[in-house]
Amino acid sequence: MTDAETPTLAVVGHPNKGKSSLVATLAEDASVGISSTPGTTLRSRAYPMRVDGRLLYTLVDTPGFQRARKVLGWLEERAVASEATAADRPRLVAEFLAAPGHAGRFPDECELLRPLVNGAGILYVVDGGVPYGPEYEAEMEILRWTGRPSLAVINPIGSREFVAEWERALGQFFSVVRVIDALRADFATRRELLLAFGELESSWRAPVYLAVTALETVRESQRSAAAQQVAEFLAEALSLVVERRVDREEDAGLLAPELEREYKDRLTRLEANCREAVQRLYGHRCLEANAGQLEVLESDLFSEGTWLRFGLRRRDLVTVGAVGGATTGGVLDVAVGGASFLLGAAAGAAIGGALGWFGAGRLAQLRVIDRPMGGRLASYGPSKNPNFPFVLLGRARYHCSLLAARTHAMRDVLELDVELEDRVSLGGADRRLLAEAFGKIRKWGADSGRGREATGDLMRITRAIFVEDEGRQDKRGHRRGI
Amino acid sequence: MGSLGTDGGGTAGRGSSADLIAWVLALQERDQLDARDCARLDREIRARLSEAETGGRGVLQGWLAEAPSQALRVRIVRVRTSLSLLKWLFLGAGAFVGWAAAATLLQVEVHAGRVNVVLCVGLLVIVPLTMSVLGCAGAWWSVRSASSASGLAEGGGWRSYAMSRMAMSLLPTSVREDVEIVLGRLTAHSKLYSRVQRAQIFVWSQSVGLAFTTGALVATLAFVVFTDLAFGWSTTLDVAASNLHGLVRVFSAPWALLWPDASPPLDLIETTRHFRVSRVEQIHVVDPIQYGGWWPFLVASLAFYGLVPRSLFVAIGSRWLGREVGEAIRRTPGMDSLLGRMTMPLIESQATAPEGEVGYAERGLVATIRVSDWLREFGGEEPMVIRWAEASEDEALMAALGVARLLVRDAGGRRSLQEDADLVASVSSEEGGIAVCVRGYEPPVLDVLDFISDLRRAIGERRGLCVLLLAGTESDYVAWRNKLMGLGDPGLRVAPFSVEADGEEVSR
Repeated sequence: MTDAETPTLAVVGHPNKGKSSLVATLAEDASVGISSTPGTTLRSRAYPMRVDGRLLYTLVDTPGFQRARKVLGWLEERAVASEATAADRPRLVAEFLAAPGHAGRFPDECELLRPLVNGAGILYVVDGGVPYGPEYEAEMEILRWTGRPSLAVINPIGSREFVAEWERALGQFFSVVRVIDALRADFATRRELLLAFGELESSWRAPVYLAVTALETVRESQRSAAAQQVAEFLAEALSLVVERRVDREEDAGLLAPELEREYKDRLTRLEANCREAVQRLYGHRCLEANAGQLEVLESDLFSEGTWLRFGLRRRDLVTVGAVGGATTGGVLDVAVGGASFLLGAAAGAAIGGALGWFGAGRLAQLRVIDRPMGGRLASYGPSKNPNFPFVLLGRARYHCSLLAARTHAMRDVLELDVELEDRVSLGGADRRLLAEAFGKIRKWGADSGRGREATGDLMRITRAIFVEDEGRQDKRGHRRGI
Repeated sequence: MGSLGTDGGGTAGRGSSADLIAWVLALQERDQLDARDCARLDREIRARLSEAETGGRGVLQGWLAEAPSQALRVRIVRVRTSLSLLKWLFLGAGAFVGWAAAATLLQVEVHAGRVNVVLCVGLLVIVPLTMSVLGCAGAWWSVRSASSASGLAEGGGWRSYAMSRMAMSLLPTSVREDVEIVLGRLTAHSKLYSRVQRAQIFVWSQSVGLAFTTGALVATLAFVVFTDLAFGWSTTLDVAASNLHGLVRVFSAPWALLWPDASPPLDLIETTRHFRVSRVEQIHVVDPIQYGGWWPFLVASLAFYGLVPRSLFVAIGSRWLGREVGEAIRRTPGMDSLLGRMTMPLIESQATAPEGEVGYAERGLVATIRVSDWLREFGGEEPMVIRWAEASEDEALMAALGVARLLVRDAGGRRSLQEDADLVASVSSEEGGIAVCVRGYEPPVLDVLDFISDLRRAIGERRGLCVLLLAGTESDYVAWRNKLMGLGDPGLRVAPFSVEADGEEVSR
């Protein structure tokens, strides 16, 4: 199939009825000019849909009808004059376009009829939020004269009050009528509309089906990648610690507010980065969002400890001391032929461990070649609250569900500052699996091998949750009839 | 992600530090491109690789071979060459030091013509082995601390730090910056690459140790073959030959069965012991051949306690390094995006032409009046309203305007253009103002604007002409007013109105 033979769908209708919104939604192009001012679209604009460079179909956004009755009048006069039959009507429409002076007098009609004369299908858009009016009949009659396969979309802008009235009217002109909110059409609805478009002509079915399959693949990949981003964010947030070395004379407690602020800042930054990455995945690069403040559920995450050179930790020294002491004591036990009932090993372990514990403090105070062997360390985090990761996941999940449902025709601010209490909660099994993964990450750290495995588990669970969420959204969309 | 999982074959998989650096540089370069170009190029590479035989390199390795620009490829080759040279430099240095140490012990550190075999084993075998074991423990410890500890913990330890600093200083300036991405500490992704750094330092240090042992072994064999070495053992401590024999038996147990000569017998130990004060007597009573009897033991010790563990550690370290590099490549910023671009079909559905400019031809002002003011102009006469496209029922319209009588004519909608023309002609001969009532929520299309223009032409400039906007929002009113301005009719007025529940007129 060459480029010229691929299906084309011209989105036509009265001005200001959501044609451009529908195109922006179907083409996933946020750059489409959408305005409440009628007549924003002055020229036809093609949106070729290519998969891996192969053109599968083209959407054409067109200006609205301006002088429909005059065009119809011209066509009818011409038909009478030339004694044309119904079979000649498409030719008459082509003659209308070619007639001298029409491009200047009927610029909008010429722009919108040209793709139809060139073989495009018709997607006629009306507003289901306002009553049906007789002025639309001339438009629909002209479209019928083109002889092109067509479907109609009722786009309920604002309200659905007149949808039934429109369905009755459009049913007389179009064989396929769909009700689709161009601003809020979910993926399943868009998919359905494209498949309906593919059914308009038998030769269009295959390319449109290929396009739909590609869109589904991309959708699945977006969901997986979003789940990966969220899982990595959660793992990082769970292991987040902010630390500061404390001078010998300094009061570590005074650092607590500063560390708490830094901890919150870094947590907020992590979340913002995750959100930005997910938005990019869904193709919303310049999306304005009103993000709510992230609340840390605990306020007692401050602690004071010791840092030692070479990455040593106090418990390492305790272990080494205990093992050394037990070995020494064990030698004594062997020397007395076991008569001590391993008391030597036990006492040795206890003494060695204690020495390790207290020695760590002493070691931290030592200086070798004017370099400190250790010192005091003030730290804030990581969070131990069992609900903390669930709160983060809830926020990320809400954000992802909004993005998955968001069309490129929506230009409003993404409202994330909402109470999530009444949102759909997690199932018991999901909650258990998540708690297990969170526990592993907390225990082993996000960067350890086991921590990475747990992050992988987290990603799989999150993806499954996203799939459920989208399924729920699709069902809700269908219940609304859009 | 998709069919290009990052955990096994066909992907970035395992590799060296040079591979990681190449990936980081290539992904950075890709990041400079426009997102759409990026997606298209990567998808094209993927398609080419799917069609072509990738020779087991894997799709991602294929991408790395194809995607970088020529300049970057040169840079990558330079990094690989430099790191390879650095490795051989370390190995050469290790081998040289090993040779020198062995030569010193076998030729210089000789007392009474005899080489102290205890000193040789201690310095050439025991000390390196201890360092090697400590190196392993240190590496294990640092990895363990790094998994759970904070950014402030010094997981790498001084040895890694010193070695990476030394490695950096040995590199040419042109590649130092590139290598620092992985080995440097002060980078944005130091946490991600610190594990690679640890593994790389471990492999380098064990490789140097292996080279040291190899050098020492080769030197020992060379001296054994080309010179006549006289071994002996000596200690100030009161150690009986039988005790040393027991120790030697345990030490040489691993190879005793395979190479019995490398396990010195008691009589050799007894006869080769020497004391400084009685060396003359010892030389005279012992067969000189016996003094060479220690060399198999020394060679076997070097091989078993030097070469074997070092080789093992190098193998384990290389495997560890490969795993860490693979993981770091997988987690390198930009890798997920690359995988997404390569696995996902590239969908382009955006417009190719720019959006047209919107503008209004404002040619005059249109006054906005209240409907009640307009009605007052009729002074009790019956107002004339032309209802456009059946904008409203008669009764509703009268109720909305608050009048008992209304002269209503119809135009637009289902009516033909001729009917509209007839209407215009008929009203032109009448007196008084006229209002055209339109639905405010419908956009002002040229059809109705043409009608208003025709009407004005027919009735003349002196008669009042008003457009009644029935219903509609503030933005609808603005849209109508702007369009009506385009008509350039100074006498034209617009009166937006709607009827609220209590019947009160609401005008702007």
